[in-house]
Amino acid sequence: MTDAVKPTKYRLIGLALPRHDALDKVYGQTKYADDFTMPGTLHAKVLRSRYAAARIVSIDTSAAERMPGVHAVLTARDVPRNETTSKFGQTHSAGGFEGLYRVLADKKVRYMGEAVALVAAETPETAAQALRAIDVVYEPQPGVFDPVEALKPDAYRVGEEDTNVVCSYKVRKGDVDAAFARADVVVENEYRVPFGDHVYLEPESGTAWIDEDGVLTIRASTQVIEHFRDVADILRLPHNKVRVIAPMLGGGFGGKEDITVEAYLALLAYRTKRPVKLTYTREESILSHSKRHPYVMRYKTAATADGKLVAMECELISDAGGYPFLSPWVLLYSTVMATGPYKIPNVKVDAHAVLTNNTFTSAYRGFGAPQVCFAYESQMDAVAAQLGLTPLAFRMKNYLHTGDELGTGYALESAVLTDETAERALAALGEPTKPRSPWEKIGRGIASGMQSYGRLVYLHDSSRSFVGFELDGTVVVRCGVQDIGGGQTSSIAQITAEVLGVSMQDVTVYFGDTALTPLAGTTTATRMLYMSGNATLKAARAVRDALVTKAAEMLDASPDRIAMADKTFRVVGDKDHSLSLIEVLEACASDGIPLSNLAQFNAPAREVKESANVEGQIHPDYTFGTHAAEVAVDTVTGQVTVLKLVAAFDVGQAINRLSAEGQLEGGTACGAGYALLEDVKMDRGRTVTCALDTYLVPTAADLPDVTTIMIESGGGMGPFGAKGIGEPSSTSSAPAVTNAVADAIGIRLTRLPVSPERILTALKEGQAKRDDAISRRVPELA
Amino acid sequence: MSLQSYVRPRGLDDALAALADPRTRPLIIAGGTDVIPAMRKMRLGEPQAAGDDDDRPGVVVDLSQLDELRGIGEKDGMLLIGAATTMGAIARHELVKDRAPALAAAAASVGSPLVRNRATVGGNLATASPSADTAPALLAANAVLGLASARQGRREVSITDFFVGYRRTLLQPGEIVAYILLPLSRGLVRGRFEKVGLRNADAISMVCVAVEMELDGRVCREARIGLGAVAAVPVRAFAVEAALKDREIDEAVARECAKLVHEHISPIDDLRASARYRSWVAEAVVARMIIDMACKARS
Amino acid sequence: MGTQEIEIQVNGQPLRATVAVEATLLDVLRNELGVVEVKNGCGQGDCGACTVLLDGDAVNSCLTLAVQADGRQVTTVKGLGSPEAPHPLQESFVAHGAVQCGFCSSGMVLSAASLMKQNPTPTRAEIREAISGNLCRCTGYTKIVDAIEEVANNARLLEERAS
Repeated sequence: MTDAVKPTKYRLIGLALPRHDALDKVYGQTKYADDFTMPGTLHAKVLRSRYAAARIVSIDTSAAERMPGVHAVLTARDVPRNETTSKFGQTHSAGGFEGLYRVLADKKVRYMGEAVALVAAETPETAAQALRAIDVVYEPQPGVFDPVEALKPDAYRVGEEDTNVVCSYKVRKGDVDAAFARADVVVENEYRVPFGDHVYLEPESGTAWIDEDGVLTIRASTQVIEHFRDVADILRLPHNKVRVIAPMLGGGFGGKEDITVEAYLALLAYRTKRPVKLTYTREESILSHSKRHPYVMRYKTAATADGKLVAMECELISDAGGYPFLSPWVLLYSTVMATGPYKIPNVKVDAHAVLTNNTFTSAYRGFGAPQVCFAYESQMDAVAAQLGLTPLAFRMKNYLHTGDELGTGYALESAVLTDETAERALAALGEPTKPRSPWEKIGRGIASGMQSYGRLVYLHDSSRSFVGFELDGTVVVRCGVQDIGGGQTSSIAQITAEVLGVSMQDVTVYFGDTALTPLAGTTTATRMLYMSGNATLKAARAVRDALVTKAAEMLDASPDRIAMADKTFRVVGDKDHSLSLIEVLEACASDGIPLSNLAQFNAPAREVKESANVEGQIHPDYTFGTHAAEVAVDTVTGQVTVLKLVAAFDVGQAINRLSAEGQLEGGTACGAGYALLEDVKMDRGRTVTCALDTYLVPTAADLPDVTTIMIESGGGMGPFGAKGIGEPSSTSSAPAVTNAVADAIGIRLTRLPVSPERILTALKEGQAKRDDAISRRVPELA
Repeated sequence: MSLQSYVRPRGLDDALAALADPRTRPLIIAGGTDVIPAMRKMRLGEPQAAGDDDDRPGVVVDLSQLDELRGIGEKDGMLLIGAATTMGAIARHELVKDRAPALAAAAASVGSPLVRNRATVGGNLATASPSADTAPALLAANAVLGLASARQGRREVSITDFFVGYRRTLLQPGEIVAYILLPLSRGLVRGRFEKVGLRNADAISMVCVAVEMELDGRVCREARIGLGAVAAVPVRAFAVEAALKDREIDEAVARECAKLVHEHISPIDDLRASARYRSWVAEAVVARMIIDMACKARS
Repeated sequence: MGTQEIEIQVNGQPLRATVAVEATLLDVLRNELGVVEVKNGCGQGDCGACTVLLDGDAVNSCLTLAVQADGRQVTTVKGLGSPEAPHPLQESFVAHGAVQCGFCSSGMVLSAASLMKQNPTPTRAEIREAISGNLCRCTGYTKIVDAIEEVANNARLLEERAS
């Protein structure tokens, strides 16, 4: 359900186009990682720690190794380089900080589900039996399971450092204390959000083998084929002897951003010299892969009576789990975006990522922004209520605009249309639904968010794409994109077709192969359209320019008078003279003019400061938008029915209208699940909700249609002025729903998910408080 | 247990004979929607503890295709449902929707449409999960269960006697539920079912309630209330029923009677909900259903 | 572990395998018979990625023993339609953008087909209920419902024209 389609100034860009990968998928022809088979494949299984915190006293693999049909049993000592560190600049103290990643547990396990040993065997059943025959002697340790507890000086040390703090950041702008003192309204709250699982429908899977040239090849469901370097380092192989191929993924959402199966497969394939396949069960996936960071967020927000925000103070504590992985990056995102899309003269943020013995946490759609969005958008409603302003009116007085500075001092450069998204999102809710019974309360809420697209500028990000014509006028694109379902390859075909004047059917895209496709970078951080789209645009334009120049020469005109469309070159205004695409291609080929181009696009790059103070530009750009929701709360059971959902975003320029809407709708659903249902429960590090009957995500019966409003400012840094939307589409969705719940019941819940039990408890406690207040209105005697 | 073979009996007597064969250990399967996940959990978890001395070969006995156990019909003013009838078939059946609406609603609430195409009412009862959705509806209907075995022949039991403990029924070894008989509601009897889950599909009940009431205007002549997920077994709220008998229903009366539900429930904390939540909701949902049903009967 | 020889008609083709008694239909389709368009998302009936039609009824193939499918008809998404002879639902899914990562699509389309058989003119609410056993994490379901509704509307139009 969408906004009216505006006419587009492009031939293909902006249209609602069917995706070529959609056809293969709907006919059941697409091969995902587990669908590939090779003769002679061995089956791998991973032995995982039964304890969240323990010393490993000994591991005896001899019985497993002797089992018939078992080809390899590996432990940490079999891994040439078992520990990988990645250095990251900003830290709580000066000097580089090392993030540690360990392939197999060595002397100590740091979370339940940590990999301890690997087995490759003839059949999955044999591999499972072999796992049971591996004798690991553990010495359980007390462990620590709460990040606030883990901050204490006497807390159990999760890692080898003398602290559980992974890193800390701060933002300082103005003087918050002075501002609080003179403010008219100050609201303080503590917000808590839980672990989340990505629940991509396709569990982790891959196969590895050594090819005929001795290249270790891994075909895996991954968002990052660049991990070939990490795998090579782990095996101490040259980088050019490791190849990673990413087929179409059945979803990623950040959960396949870190290495999952690749290193295990590589080690086993290298040892056995046979192809090895590893596919996780759903239970194993939930148990062992990265989770969304839980946060404890203490917010203090102040405004003056005229409705202006004057100060925001935030303390953020994230649970990094057993290993850092991407926690420092996630925390940095949270820090930068902690105060939301608002102008605030005085800002103080202190953020810490802390190790615990819970499952490690890492990338998850939004990457630290959804957590803080829940906090700051709840705060905005709370302050608005105190000021007697509507949620929309209060926000409208405070939104950032182009040229305004974030708390970090970075002035926004591109279009910032949050105002328009907020007005239109709320308006799209239409007439309030009337309660359908006396037991039902209806509420509505909005939430605005900001979310970066493109990776941290410190990472000096780049992307490459190769575009070339075949002699028959069809086009080949080679680009390392990992297609996780968001139309990553389709967009590249579309951009290429647009520039070269061909149809999308004329473009074949080779993707996701470190040996054969120029590296495009990770499919993460809402960067793929921005980065590979721009690289492809650059390459396609270079090819086009070369052909146009040749055609101009052949038509005896200047290149700026040549029109290239529908596989024809003609001089503008001249109906009589034209050249076919084939003619020009042949002429170029004959004259030694390349029919192809390999282009690199570089994102803005900055140098990381050796400081915990976060200042200046951190991301290339941001996408702004607003979600709106209407809910019905059953006051007898606490259950919530989501009646309406709206997503209004400035997308810059929609490339494929259907894909853009699909991202907005899907992202909105993701946030609704975060708000109402999703909760990875851990009991002292043990995942309790380890299957899809206990970890619940929304079904089709739990969501209404999502109405999407796409504003196209043309002000993005992506191709044709596009902004990224993969993550922004989800960030502000959860607080829109929770603000609607708060509106319905008159009570603000500060923990996610807002479950029926939490709602009912709040209603009853609220009633008790009211009853208490009433009973105390008896004449005061004291 | 190690599963050695699979049989798909042609007739009920063959099935019962297979279940009574002393040389094998039978594993009954119909829809498989409880049995197969249980097998999977065992396979993925720790191997069976060394306490299981029964090393007879396991035989999977498939009851799902037995025509004698499937079908919905009328018999002497009663609704007769074969135990291997799927939830989907029950939920769609016009006679059930019209004359046993609580059961239709309960069956329609089980799992998902995919699950409902396989899951059977007999399996739902035999698994005896405390949160089995059809149980409260059958309790409220005072259903009779027809049992069959090679050893004991045929017998009928009241559903109120069927559940004897947590996931335990009075079924003897080799005995199955063959059919369910429940009165077709007529006249002034109304039936309703409500399921409280964390989401609207594929959800295990935190509380589920079925109410059947014979209403004369707003006077409750008789009520039967079944509840699930609030005790070790599905229960009847006899005290509530007694309090409602011959009372004129209004909101205050409904709430007063609903309070008595606590005499019959002993909910627990689990990862879906706390005991306290279940207590609140059991009482409040019972009250609401009574109020809504009495109001509807009036208009 | 006992085994049994079975024959299943898969999309009209008889396929034979010797299977473990405890093997699920999903396991056997994917691992023995190469029918990999049927996906494994959770293995216990909670996600619907493994949906097939068993004698025309949409079921979770992970909740069916392979031996239970012996002598019976299994239809996968490939049996529903192909590039040469697409099913209207497949065309509609693509036209509406209802396919993103596609992992749920094989199952989703079959649940939709099953619905259309029982109820050729469903409402949006009925559509949502019919696909409530098929999880999707990418689309938020809106375009899937749009796609199915269009096929239903076309059916409605045909019905009206016929009457």
